[in-house]
Amino acid sequence: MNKLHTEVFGITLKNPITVGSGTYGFGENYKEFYSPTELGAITVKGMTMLPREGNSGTRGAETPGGMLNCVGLQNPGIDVFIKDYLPKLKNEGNIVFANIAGKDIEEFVEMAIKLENSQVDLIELNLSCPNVKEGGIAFGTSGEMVGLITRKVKEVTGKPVVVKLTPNVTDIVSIAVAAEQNGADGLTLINTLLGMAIDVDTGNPILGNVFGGLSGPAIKPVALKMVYQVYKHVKIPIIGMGGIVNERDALEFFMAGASMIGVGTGNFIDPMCPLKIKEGLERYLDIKGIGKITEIVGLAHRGGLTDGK
Amino acid sequence: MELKGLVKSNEFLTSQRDVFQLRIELNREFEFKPGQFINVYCPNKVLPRPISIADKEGNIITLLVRIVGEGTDFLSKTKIGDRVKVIGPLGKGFNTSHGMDKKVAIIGGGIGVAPLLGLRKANFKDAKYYLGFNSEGILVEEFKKVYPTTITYLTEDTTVLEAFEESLKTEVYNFVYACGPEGMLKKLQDILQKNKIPGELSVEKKMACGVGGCLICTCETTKGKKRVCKEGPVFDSQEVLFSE
Repeated sequence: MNKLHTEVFGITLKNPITVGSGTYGFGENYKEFYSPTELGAITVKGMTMLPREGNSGTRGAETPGGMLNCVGLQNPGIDVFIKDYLPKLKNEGNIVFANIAGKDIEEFVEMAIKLENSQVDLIELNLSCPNVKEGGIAFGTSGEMVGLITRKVKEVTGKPVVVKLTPNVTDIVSIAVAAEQNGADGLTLINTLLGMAIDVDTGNPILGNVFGGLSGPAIKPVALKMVYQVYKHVKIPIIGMGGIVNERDALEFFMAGASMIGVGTGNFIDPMCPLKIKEGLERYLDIKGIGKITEIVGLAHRGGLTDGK
Repeated sequence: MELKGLVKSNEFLTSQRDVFQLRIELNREFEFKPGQFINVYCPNKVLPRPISIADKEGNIITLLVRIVGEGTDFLSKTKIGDRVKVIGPLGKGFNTSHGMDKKVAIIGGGIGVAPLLGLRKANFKDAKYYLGFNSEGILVEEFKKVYPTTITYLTEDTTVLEAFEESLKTEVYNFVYACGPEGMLKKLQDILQKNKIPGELSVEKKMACGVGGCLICTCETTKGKKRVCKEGPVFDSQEVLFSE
């Protein structure tokens, strides 16, 4: 029996593990390490309507327990994805979550229409990229805007729509609730936290964009807290991510209320990270005598494991 | 490929103790092209460190490393018998077939000599090395003890290119392999273009994943942004657009 079997967003998954958008390209980079079909789903690089070169200058910096990036949504554009990458991914048997970032509401809608007629399994709305000037994080900080985009996209697609939220807000719960009330099928929590680093030898900011998105183990407690907090106020499933690098991290997110988890920076630290997490989760469930991974979702809200487990 | 490594030797090559030669025995045989690199893991650092493979004998790889931060400082302190985790080989190495049956120049500056050292085993018809070290950096005599004597050593970065350009008055090179600081590579690019000599350059960028996933290490090229870890670090000599 596959203890990791998960049904979520109306999709059957062999396990509840995906990857953070922008950490996995279009599934081509980690093939020499393992088959991407081993993952429950692949979340592809955030796509824009037109191709983007991304930002110039230094795009990354290591920080204590994490890293900063300001890649800026470099991608070949949605049409190239649909034509060149998606058919291959589907033929190989992958479940594909498509992350899209529009510069305005119309673009989100237009991209959703393009994806509606494709083999994509789920649409993730990127309302939280900190590294682009138009749209991005600006959308994600307003509950009203998040709600409006979600509703407009839902009007044009029958595919499940998940909204990826930014942690760079005062009250993430109200924004999550706005997404749910406007028809979101799920939430992805969280995107990166805004941060910066300075090179003390030159006195200049390290990143070409000055500010970047902080990810990795350093942000895990923040992400976990937000998943826990939001879980109490919404009924839709949550994809939890933010600093997950091993199965214990993943377990915390499930227990906080995530139905799926995403590995982001963990892929950069160790290309095998998602597979090691999968094996670790199976081991954990066996040791604890738990029949299904779904049994531990939200466990931290229900008084934890019962006796004997 | 994830590999387990065992430190076989670790020696400083400079009196300032800022450049060291680390030899690691890996638990598996693997194919390696000069110019490729490995990701080496350092405790307490989030990301692995990408380091060029300078040489390989059986399962033992040689790394020539300059200390630039905490990760490389950690590696400089590893002792014989210490275990290190490694992923690799990664990236695209030099295409030695470009230089077969030809006369090649191999040009390196500073720690940029490291990825070029493996080329000495390639079967070129004739090869001349122009390797330059900042006199404060790698001690030439120490370096000579470790690496073969067929190499032309120069002690100032700038004179490497001057010497190479001077040699073009009397010698004909069919292909050039190079690695070094960005400013040096940009100047070399101009020299090669002026003299219509094809070549390959290995470039360096800050990396995160090393396997093509993160898009941190992109560089500008004539064909748009490319990933140094995946499409590089070795590029056609005229392909990379340097900003300096």
